[in-house]
Amino acid sequence: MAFLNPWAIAIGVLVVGAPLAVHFLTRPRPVEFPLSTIQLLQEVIQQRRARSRLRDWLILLLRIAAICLLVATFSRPYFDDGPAVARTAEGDTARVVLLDVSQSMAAGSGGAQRISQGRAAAIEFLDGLRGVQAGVIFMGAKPRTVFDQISPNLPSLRSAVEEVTVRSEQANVHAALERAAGMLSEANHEKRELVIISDFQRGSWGTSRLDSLPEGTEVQFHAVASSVTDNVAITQVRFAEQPIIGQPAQIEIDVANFSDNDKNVSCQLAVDRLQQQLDAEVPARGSRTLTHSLTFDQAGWKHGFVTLTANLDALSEDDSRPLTVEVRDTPNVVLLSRQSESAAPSSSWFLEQALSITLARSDGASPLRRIHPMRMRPSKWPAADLFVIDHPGALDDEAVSFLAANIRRGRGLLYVTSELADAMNLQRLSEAFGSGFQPPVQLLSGSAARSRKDLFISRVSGRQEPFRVLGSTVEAALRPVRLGGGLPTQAMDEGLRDQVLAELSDSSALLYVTSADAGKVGVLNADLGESNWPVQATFVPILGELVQGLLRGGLDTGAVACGDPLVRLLPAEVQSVEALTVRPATDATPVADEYGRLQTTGAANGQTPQGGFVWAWEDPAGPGVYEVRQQNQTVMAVATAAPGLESDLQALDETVLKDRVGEGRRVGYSTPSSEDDEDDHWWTWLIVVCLLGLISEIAMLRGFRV
Amino acid sequence: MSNLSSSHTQPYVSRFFDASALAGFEQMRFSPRRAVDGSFSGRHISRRRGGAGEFVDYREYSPGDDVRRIDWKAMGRMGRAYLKIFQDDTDLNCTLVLDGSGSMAQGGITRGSRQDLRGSKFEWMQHFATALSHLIVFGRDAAGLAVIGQGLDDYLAPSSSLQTRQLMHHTIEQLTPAGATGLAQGLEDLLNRSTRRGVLVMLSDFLVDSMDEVVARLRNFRARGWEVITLHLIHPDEQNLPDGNAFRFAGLEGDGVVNCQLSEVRRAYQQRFEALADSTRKVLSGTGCDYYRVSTSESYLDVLRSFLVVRGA
Repeated sequence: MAFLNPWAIAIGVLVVGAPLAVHFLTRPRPVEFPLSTIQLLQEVIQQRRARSRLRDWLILLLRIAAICLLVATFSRPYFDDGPAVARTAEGDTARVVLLDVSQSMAAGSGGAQRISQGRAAAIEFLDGLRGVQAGVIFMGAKPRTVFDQISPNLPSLRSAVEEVTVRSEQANVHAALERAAGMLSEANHEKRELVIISDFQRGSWGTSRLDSLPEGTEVQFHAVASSVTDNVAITQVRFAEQPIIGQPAQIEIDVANFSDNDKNVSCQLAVDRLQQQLDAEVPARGSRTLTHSLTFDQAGWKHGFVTLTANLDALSEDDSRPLTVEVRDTPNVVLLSRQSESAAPSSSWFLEQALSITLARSDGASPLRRIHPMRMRPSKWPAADLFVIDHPGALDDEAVSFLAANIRRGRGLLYVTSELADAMNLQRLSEAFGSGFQPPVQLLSGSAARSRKDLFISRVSGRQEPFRVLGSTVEAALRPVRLGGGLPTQAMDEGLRDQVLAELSDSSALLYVTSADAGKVGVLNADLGESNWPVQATFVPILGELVQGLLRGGLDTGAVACGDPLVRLLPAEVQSVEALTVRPATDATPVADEYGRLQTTGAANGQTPQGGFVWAWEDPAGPGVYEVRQQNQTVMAVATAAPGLESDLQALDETVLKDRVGEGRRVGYSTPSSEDDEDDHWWTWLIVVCLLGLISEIAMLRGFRV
Repeated sequence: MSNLSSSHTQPYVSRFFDASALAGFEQMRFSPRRAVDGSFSGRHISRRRGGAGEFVDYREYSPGDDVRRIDWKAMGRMGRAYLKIFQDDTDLNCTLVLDGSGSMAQGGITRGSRQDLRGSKFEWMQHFATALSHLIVFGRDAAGLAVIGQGLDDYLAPSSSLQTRQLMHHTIEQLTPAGATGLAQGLEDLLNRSTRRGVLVMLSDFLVDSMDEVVARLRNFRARGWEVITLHLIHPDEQNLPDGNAFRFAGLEGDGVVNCQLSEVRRAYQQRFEALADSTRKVLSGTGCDYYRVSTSESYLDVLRSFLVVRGA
């Protein structure tokens, strides 16, 4: 327990003496009075003495207590363990100051910004050191240190703290604590102290622990917070599917309202030359997804921003969010099949017909090209956005490598498996994909494959693509479907069961879709030539949805979190990294110190690298759009922004921090105003107790009939 | 007594004697409730039935009777000897017993060694005793005085002479309360010194250590045919304690000192005092004494008037 006004105790002692002096000075002088019945009076006094003594003692105690309580009230006690880490320190002490520089620290305005308070507090914790070594860690997506080890060079640390600014990142608390633990462990000092200066956002600190810190480390939580925590933010901007020239594409904007009141928001969307304003009401403590359909008339990468207009809230940094998306030309599809184009009806024929309908171009040209894999070398195959394989026979190594390389870079593959050779082909493709491909089932090349016919669909994931296009009638619509051919399947231990979207009556998988690095692979396990599905109305729409999903590949049009490592496979048209440059794509995008590395992955096979080229950026800057250019043409772009979770400014309670985060340790908690009013509420209770004491005294006096 | 000597030339008047106030009482008489022994002829019925008084009855002769009182005429008619019995009128033999203990100074003011008894019980008693003695003597009865402090401090045998009255008044005037109460001892001494029965008028606050001893002595008086009248003098300060809160009470009979906040004990004290007074009344009444509770806040003349109305012949 400590006192905000300890001088009041000294005054209190005098004050306690004052009533005693007043009492003795002003007490009625006893009047000398002769009394004949003094013996009688003595008997009465004697009789009442025990009762009076009890009363006198109780009243004396109550009065003393009342005076002491009043003194305590004026001295304003607060029951706090005291800071685990004092501002000042000297001697054999190692102190690490962990300063949060995540985006939420920009909340507030002017001098009331959290980062301003944080800087001031950090400087105070550094200035108070005498002959002590210290370290400073700036906690963003990555912990950044001024020196790798604790150092006696306090002026440099102080200077670094003064210059630090907020980064559009989410704090990686775990990494920062690990770094702090490392610095403290290396320090051979008698005393170790860790000062954590942060706004202690719930999203960042909710699951954090101090377990990694060395034993005996004293931890001080110093919470900075702005008075206003209401915040409305754009937390995500994405396209529902990859835009294609001339076709409408839906953009989805997630707006979150981290306040207690409903908010009317107005979003200004600017992409390429398109501009649109979207208005909506976002419920309190909720979010809303605004959608708008955009149609692009040119292919290529398009950049833009979505901005909340006239939004006055605690954090302005999250009112704008960059976006970038690649608008593709109409997709090209290559159908690899040994079956003759004229052999109708056949499995590949059904596929060709359905794809021609689904991917029809406005100019009437066919988007699909049929290739006999045995008659054309893969190097001669045309560029394709989607490979459809049906009855290909056994593919040679070159074809497998070609397919694997393209799909890993973002192309799609629909494999209709119906023969034993398909199981072998898929096995080899799987090996070529490497660890980036984890199919949920394995096709079995046993004799059972020959007896597969009249199979019906026993289970379908109606809420997922491609079946969700049929809505709630999906099971009824697929009930007449009878399928034959295909291969029995066996579940893979490491595969994801929910990637199997439909199962047949023999428990084998009918359709699964999975990823292979940047591309997507769909396997339809049936011989369409031996099935009645292609002649039913459900076939074309489901195949169309499936193909669209595969064409999207691993599309992620959302922004990358600033500071989180970024790896992008560059498209197939990239021939060498030497010709590539990386730069900010828009004027609003900040220039970074470095833009990562452009490198080749996988083993080279002739002129074309098997794995392709990747853009790896360890510490993406932002927020903004960064692009990789090849000969004045953008081949890859990435939008970077702070994660949406960073916009929730609600902080963890002191008790949660102490009890859960600092479990088992002696931790202190302070705020910038704690010197003035830390736990300064006891005086009100003291006044209440004092009043109760006085009431008790009156009741006692009445009880004793005085 | 020197003052008394000069009274032969100039009548002595006690400062407690208010002749004008007592003039209205002179037609009132103090009478005992029963027959008394007197020395001289008076207005009161004598306990002796002799031959000089008023005839009241006959009684058959028995050996040893005074043959002079035989009614010879009746003997002649009846053949048997009868004595004529007469009731004598005699004077009253009244002894005033005054409590001279220190407790009687209640109500007075003590300044150092000087005592100012104005307003005290003692002063009231002096007024009352002076007046009563005057009225008794004025009625041709004999009045005596016994002052009891720690014992029988002063005693004047009953007499109806003016000199004795003056001496009595002088004695009363010169009295000062002091010392502890030896009421029982004083009464015993008085009984031993009294040769004739009479009326004992006792003025006291009855603040004694042992009331039983006092009662025992009074029973002795009663047994010897005395009529005992007790006037229980109570000062308002004794009954209610003085106004105010903080007091340093000093005992009047060397009882020590008590500091006290009266607000704490006043009610209990009053209850206890009333209980004591009630107990005194019961005890004295039970002994056959006439009991009068007298508050000294009342005028002694009013009390005297009431007393004489009750006790008047």
